[in-house]
Amino acid sequence: MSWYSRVGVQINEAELTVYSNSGRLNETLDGSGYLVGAGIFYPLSDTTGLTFGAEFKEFNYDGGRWDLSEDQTLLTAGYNFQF
Amino acid sequence: MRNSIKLLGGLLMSSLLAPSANAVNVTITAGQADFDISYKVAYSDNSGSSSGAFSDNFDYYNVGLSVERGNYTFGVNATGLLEKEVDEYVNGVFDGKYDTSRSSYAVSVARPISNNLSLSGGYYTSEVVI
Repeated sequence: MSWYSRVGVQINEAELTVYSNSGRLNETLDGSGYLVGAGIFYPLSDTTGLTFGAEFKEFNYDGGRWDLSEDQTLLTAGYNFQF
Repeated sequence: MRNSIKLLGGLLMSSLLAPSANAVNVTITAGQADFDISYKVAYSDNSGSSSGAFSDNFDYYNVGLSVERGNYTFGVNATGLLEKEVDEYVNGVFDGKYDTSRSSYAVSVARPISNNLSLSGGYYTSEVVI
């Protein structure tokens, strides 16, 4: 069994479309985000294994007319097959 | 209100464990993924504004493929949302359920820079419809 961790930054561009009572509105927002995560890899055989991890992501967009932010907390289970 | 959000991004990531070479991965986040988007919209300076949040826990699936060529590992991943509805809150008060869909695709290339550290970069695109 082994463990891993990862950190990252992301530069985003969001194309936002809103269907409102006054019609369809569009705007492009610039934003940024980051993520941190860690997990374990549990080998089942020489070529297969399971991963269990946790990760947090946050994205933010600040616009004059539009503000948008998103948070994600992910707990994952995965299967890996090497060939 | 119906929102369609397309997110485009470049991802720069460092990892303490190099990604598996020549591998297929399938990942499920079963009921544990927070889907939490807050928004503030002002249509113009003096008319119409809106603020609130979409929040829920969702199941995601992710499938990926990575292949090693020399010192580089190339990967592709696709992610989708299994649920079809999301809860909206305005000023903290539940305001109804909205149909939603979400998908994302990523391509990446990684290279080990030491025995325990690898550096990867890539391109990620995602679309959210509420």
